[in-house]
Amino acid sequence: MSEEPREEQSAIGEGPQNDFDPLAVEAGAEKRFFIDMLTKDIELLPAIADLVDNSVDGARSLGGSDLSEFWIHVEVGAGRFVISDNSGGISADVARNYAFRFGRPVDFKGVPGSVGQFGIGMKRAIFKLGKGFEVMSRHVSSEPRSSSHFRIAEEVDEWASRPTDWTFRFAELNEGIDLPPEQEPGTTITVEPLHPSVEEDLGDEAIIAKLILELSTRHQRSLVSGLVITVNEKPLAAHRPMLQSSDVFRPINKTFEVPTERGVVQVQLVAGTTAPSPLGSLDEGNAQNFQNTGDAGWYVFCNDRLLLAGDKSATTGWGTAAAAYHPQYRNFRGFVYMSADDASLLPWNTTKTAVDRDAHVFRAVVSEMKTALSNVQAVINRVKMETTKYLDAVAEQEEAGTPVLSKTKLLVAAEDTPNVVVEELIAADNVSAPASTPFPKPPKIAPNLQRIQYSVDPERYRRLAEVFGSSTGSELGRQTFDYVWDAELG
Amino acid sequence: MVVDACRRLTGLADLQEFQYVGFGGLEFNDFVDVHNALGIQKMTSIERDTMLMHRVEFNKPYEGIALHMGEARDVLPLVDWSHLAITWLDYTEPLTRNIVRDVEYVVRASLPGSVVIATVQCHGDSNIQARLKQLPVALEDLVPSGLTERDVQGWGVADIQREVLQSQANSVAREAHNGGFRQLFNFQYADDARMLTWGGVVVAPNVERSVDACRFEDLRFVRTGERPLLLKIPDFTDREWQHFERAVGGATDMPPLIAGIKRQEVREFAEIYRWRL
Repeated sequence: MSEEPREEQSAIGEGPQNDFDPLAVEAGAEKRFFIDMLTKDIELLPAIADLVDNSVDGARSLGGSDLSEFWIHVEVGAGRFVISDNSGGISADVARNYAFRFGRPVDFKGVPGSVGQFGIGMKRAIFKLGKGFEVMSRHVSSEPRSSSHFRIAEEVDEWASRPTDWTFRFAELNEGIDLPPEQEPGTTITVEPLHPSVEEDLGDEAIIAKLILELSTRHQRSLVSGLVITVNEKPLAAHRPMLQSSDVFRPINKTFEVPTERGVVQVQLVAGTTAPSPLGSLDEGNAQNFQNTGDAGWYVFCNDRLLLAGDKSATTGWGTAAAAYHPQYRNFRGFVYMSADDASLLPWNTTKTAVDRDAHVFRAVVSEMKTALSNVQAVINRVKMETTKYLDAVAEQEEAGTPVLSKTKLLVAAEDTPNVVVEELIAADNVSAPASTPFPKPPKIAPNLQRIQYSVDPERYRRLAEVFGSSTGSELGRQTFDYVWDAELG
Repeated sequence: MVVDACRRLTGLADLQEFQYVGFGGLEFNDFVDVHNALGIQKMTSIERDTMLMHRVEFNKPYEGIALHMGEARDVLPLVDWSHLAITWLDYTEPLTRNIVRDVEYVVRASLPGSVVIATVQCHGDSNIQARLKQLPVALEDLVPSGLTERDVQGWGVADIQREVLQSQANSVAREAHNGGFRQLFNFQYADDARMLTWGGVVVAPNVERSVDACRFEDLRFVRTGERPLLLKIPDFTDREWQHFERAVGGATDMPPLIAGIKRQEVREFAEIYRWRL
């Protein structure tokens, strides 16, 4: 658990004012009003996700790209909510000065590459969930006798009833100590009792399923890096993004930087197609194997947290710069990973649940996404066109009984190219696919037939046609030939 | 005129560093012009009608012209946009959302300093009511709201098309290049149908001064705003054309007229005869 402040906090909550100042005009906040304001704009699941984010940040700050030693357990039920982790813990000093403040001092440096940014997540989540909480944390320092262990427990109603005292108090505190090696550093937050509406919501299995989905999609990359996250002891599965890739059929995989006044945002953009469903189901959805239309679109991550999932809206260029979404594009997948040491450079909103479309960084990135989308759409369009021509040709050939043509290189590549995990793709500024080739005309096989042609008196033709009921000369010719054949040789 | 303007691109880079991307058709007139007049070597032609492939291959004037068969939207991504480009999307139909998308793609993909031009028919219908109905169908949400019959009278549709193209190109250039799109061409002319040729140069902060140095606005036919250059193409026979070309070239006086051809027509001819249109 890491809770790293950054922004300067305004005058609220600075503690009791003892000296009477006749010029002072009271403008402080009522705590109850403050709590209501803080929690009214956040839904329950994003609030829980904020707590998990803090734990993920802690693990990432210690583990880097290998998070296999770290775990985060979320448990809900029996009237309480518990999140525990082994992500390094909060030091008593950080707890005392930063972690429980509302907002962040400007001098706090934070964790490079973290998700947490605004300094309100943990408190907001706790207030959203329930009426009492306990935070226990063990923090190990690399310096001897600098580790710490603390416990803070508060009843929110009781705290809110102290109008001018904004402090929490340590219920237990040991600092300047060495923690025994068997005690893993980490944090456990327990919220109990829960608000009745929260208890009801968390008792609903559908909501727990949604929480699991939310956490596993938001933290895909961390899960892939080995982090274990469990919800009620059920480990979350990592989804590994994959795209078709081979020597001749390759997705875009480019990296670039977007400079800002305060630093650089690193961007990796990957876009291409997933292996298609079989021919003959060109435009119908197929719910198997993530081939349903819901999975198509753009996936946008900020510091590895997923902000947009399967986006097919104008925000990412669909229907504006590129063609609007249509089921023929259901194999399109695009993944954009933006990262910055300073999370405030990233284009997300304050609840970190959506992109900030007006941010300069997002405009620069979305421009690249639009080009990439058009490029991949162009390949999909070409494949569709050749597929249609191929199916037409096959139908013609089957009717004519001629041998079936082989597929063009583009079709073979589009169908047979296997999926490769995104991490293993090689760099490429554009998609590559075999050029379209004009569909070869089906070979005409001259049928082995003998043609007969003769002329007769029109009156004799009319009378015989009447006898055979023939409407054309060729029909009568055929019928008379068959008649004589049956009579003589049949 | 486009070739004349493109000569000034030397302010940005050696013209041989530019590539030309166009819809060469079977004639490739524009390709011959840019190759002869500007010395451009790298050229790409896009042809929608895949049935014409062998004829297009036969008719292309230079072996080095790369040919991409297919809809522009599907083959524009095959062009190597890492070179400066002069791209002329010469459509014969009225402007649609898909055409705007092609133009946007080229503006986005082109390096700053590149020229992008589009030609479209102004309206396919002579009925004013029908024009008013067609615009939102063709251009969807890009059409300004509250259009009235007055807005689509005369060359009104061309004015709207130019506005759509310019504002979209500018907004894409701002998004993609942190710059803008500087309009140079706004020609309205009628041959078989009323046509608009619009275009300009993609600008980013790092090329802005070089683009200024090209001094495009010194050229009499450059139009950077709403007011178009209305080109009137006289209805002359080949023989009349050759006669007046010989007569007005370098001359200051009005040449002797041919009975039945008005003085005004010859003046208009003198304005435009130097350029293939």
